[in-house]
Amino acid sequence: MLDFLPKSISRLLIKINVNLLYEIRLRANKPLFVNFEGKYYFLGQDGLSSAVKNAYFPTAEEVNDALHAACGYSIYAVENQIRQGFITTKNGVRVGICGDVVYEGGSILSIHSVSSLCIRVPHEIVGCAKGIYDRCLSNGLRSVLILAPPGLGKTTMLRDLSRLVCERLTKNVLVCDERGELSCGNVGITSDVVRFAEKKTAFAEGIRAMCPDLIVTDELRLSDFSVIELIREGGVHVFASAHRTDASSIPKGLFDYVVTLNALGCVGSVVSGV
Amino acid sequence: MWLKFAVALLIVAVSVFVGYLSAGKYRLRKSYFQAFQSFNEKFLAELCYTRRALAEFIQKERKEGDFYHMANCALVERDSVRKPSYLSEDEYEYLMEYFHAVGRADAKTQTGWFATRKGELERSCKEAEAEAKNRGELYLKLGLLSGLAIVILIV
Repeated sequence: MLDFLPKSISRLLIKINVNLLYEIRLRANKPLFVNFEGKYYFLGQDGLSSAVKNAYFPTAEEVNDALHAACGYSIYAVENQIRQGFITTKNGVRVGICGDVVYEGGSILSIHSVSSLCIRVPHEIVGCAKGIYDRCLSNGLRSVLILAPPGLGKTTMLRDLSRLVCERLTKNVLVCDERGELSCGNVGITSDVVRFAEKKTAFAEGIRAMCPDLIVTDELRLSDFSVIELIREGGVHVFASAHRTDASSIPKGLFDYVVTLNALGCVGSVVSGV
Repeated sequence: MWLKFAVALLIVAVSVFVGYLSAGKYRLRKSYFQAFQSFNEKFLAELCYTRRALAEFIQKERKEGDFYHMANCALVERDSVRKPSYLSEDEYEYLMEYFHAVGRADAKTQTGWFATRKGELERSCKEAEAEAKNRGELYLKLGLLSGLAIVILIV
């Protein structure tokens, strides 16, 4: 899954259990920082450490090589993703990019001199959303919004919820995966996947083409809620997530349940009829 | 008498075959440049439309021959490519520069770069085809003549 990393860094990862690795922060000439089991550590020749002196310092060249390899050595194939500041590898690993941004005509043309990469390692945890399913969907299909800050497992929860709905309710599910991250894993036997399309396009064309009972999508922005309203009026249910800690800015009546995660994979509150 | 005739025929056949083999280098050059040109054309089309990642593109388009073997080696396996004997140092450097550029930039930049290579490759391909034709004929004739000379001297 992380085969795009330079050998010097891959060698360090052998020393830790990659299944418990959630994030790698690769910064040029700065200490290698990883999120392991929900906590941040420096990573070096002796494995995980809290001391910066034990950390490995990747070079700018290693950061660039990692990005190029993550693109499948084909920048042209992922240029639209790069413009949005991230790419998703074929295995669903999301690589956030930080560097010098070039604009043309008011929109981003490219990002060059890449100095940092935030590599998020996806995990498929079968059954992790069972609690949410039992509390929200035991009486049939409803619309659910999952709220949490980044890195608490919203995407993993959504993926498992989609799988559960397909298996238990056998509904037609349309997964609108804007970043190619959500659909990397089992999203269910009766699901269809639209990848890398903008939400508006994916929703409109997806509903027309696939007639879904449920749309599953990730990372809603405030501007997306008007489209969600139209979908809901059309009788299609929605599972979504958003980078938020409370539901105060969510338009009323849009979702049947709002679930808040308060720790990695932990359901904090489930509020109905928001 | 018949034995002499058979030996003479055998000598001529062998020398013509040696001539054919001697021209093999030029046939390989021709195939190499034809494959190179075809790859460039297909890659330009790829940049305009499907924009698949390199590994997928090469696996789908892969054909027999030295060029595709080298392309797979350099662009998919990310391994070093050995210089074939029929390429000059400059031609080998040109190929390495080409492989280095593939996939390095966005589609617009890549299209511009590879469109420039199109003319150069067409010219090289035509030269290699003409050379293969001329040298092929020359070596066959030389083979035939040397065979006849041997027959006259020996038989």
